[in-house]
Amino acid sequence: MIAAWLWLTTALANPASVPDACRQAEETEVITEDGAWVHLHRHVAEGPPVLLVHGISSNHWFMDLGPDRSLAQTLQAAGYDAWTLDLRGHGEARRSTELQRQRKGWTIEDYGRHDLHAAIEHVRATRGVPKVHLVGHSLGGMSAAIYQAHHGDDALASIIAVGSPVDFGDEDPLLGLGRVGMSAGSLFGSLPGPALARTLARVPRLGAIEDFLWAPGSIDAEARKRVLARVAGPLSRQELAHLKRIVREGHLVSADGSLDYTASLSQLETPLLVLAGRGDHIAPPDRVRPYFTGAGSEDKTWVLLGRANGFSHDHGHVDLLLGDTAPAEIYPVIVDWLLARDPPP
Amino acid sequence: MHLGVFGLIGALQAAEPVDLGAARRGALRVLIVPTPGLAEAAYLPLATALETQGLDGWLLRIELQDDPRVVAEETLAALAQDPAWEGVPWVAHGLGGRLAAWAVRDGAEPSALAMLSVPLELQPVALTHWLADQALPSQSVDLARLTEVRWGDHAALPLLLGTPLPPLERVSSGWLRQLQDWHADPHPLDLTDVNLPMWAGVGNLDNVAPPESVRPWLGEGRLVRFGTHRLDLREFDHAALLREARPLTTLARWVATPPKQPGATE
Repeated sequence: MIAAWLWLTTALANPASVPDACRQAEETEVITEDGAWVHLHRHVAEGPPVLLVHGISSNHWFMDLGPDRSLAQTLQAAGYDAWTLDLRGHGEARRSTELQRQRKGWTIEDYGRHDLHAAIEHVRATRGVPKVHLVGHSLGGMSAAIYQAHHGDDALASIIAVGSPVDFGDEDPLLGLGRVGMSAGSLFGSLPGPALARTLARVPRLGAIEDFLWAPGSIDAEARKRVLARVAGPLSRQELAHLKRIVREGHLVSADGSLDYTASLSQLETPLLVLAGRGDHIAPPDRVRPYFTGAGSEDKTWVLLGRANGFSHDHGHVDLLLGDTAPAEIYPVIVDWLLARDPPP
Repeated sequence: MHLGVFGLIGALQAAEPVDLGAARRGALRVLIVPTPGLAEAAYLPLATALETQGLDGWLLRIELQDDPRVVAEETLAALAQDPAWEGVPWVAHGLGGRLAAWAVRDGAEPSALAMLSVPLELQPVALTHWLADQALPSQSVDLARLTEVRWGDHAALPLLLGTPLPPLERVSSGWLRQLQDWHADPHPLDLTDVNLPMWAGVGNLDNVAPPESVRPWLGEGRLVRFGTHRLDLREFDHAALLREARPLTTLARWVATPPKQPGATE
């Protein structure tokens, strides 16, 4: 876990290198209620809007790495209006369009409480629709749980949580080590490292660290370089401190510990799809499944992404959406689930 | 190696245990509740690990004619009350281990319960749906002859049980029907109110008893997740947990010195 955190915090993107996929998207900066800003990239279609939210220490490229592996473009091709989001401090939202830096000190709570709220309201207003579908990978799905606790789920047409843990009980040695790493990391103001990321992208293989992030052999060499070079973001001291608290409490709690967002999932009523990778070391299925079991939604679906369930391999964390086989076997799970509930006109 | 074998004659009455090994004087006996269909040889590494800790493993032999429900509700319950077996810890394994968990949930009181790869709730996946749909013969099935049976691109049994496969043997159709029934109705075994020292060993790649099939129902029991999360150099599937020294030694150490109170850590 510590290795993953450290890698994720240091393997930062090279924002100067803009993938082709993003050049095709409409760009929008949205100001949040607390004065931060997020960045939206839209792949326009006439169908229902879908907001795609990246995970921790990542950015919108996770959902749109290129034509060969882009959940956003796949949704667009299916008729959905796909909006990828850069949470505050990530990707294009590291600086404002006027080159201002984000005010420091945000926590994970701010992603769900303010950033998702701002993005959802912007999409609703732009499209003139009451509801938005939300796809969240890892922290993106956790942020959806935070969002619904603060704002309810009236504006959500559905939540699709991909590898999003909400239960950190029964701490294992790796998680304990991760907590130590979070303590160490929180001594710094932030853990950026674009230069190191570019260096790591040139290293043929990162061994156990890489195996921890994605299933061995699940991302080809060329795509691996793109993932390392583009799909990463900073981790702030406060974000790490919040994570540490979450792990210590065993639940997805607020930064001050007063709210239990895992428990709040019982109030969720919107349709829910939860995906978990059998070989995911960062968000193993037993830490993800309470998202499914705890949700109050009557329409909820659990899909385990592993060989025994008919998938090509036991999926890890990053390859859930960026693996070589994701476009052929995981994107269709998401698209078909949406089509069954809210098909484009 | 001290491996004892019970013969369960008839469905309603536990037979006297038969010790096939040369039990060391004073060694604490341990009752192993196995999975029907796995040969006795599959449990030799476990018995060896127990022996290393000064324990004497006795294997509960579930015969072809035994009704799994009776084993859980009567045979194991009776053993727990038998003065000769009072205070004996149980080691439950795999799907058969559910019978021990079932008995404990219903009030049987061994001194401790260690569960290795025991799913407390069955969570169906495509492979188990397929297995549950298979027609069963009226009597019994020799699992050792089914190792090449395909499910899509995979050999079904190695995918379910792990590789290399443990030694397999004949299993009753009654037992397989029980598994199919559990598949249709997951029948969670909720141990959260059980006041016994309990331990559960799981592996991330175990397709029989993945961690999510155990954690929610274990209550105050001690969960050990073998593999990367325990800083092991490898991940463990169902077969590896019953074969490799690291999980077996950890289990045996816990059985040798279980905590006095439920929920206490190792």
